[in-house]
Amino acid sequence: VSYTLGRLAALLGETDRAAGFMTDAAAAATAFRAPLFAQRVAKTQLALSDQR
Amino acid sequence: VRFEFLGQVTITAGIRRVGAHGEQPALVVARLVLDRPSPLPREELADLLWPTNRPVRWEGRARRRPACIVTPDEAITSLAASRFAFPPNSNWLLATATVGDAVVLTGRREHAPVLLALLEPYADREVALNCFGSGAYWGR
Repeated sequence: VSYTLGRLAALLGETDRAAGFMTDAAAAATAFRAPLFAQRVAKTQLALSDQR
Repeated sequence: VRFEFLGQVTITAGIRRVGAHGEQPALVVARLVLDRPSPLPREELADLLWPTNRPVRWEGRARRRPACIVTPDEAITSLAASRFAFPPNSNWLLATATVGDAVVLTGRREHAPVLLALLEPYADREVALNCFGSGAYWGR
């Protein structure tokens, strides 16, 4: 859910808030050993850092 | 998505093209597309599929057919009218998170604040959807 929240926040241009959600999503991807999801989160984090 | 009704009824999405096999399924597709986004009542669906003799267990068979065809934008607009108030059951989180993703994918930013408010209390939940339209969620 944090991944979805991060993308919704990014859609609103709230990049700091989105980055916070994405940090949580990255932790969840690690905890659940989900490499493909981790890649998607990392890609979104990169796009967010570019925007910031 | 492109629908063709002259000759064989076909549905084309990107490079994928599928045909509606048989006259009755083709009629159902035509009705759904031409009256889009109106839903198709089950009785009318049954009449289209089985104009003469309905099978004994027709209700179960009819349930597997699509009841309406709407674009993602139309679906979001329709759901937004009730502020995405899905029934408070075990599908609530799955449905709300899926609509959240759909809003992102379609760029409908006007709906993002409502969905953020709905989903934020569940930020620590994990949601997984599979390609068959169902899914699961877990967490505290």
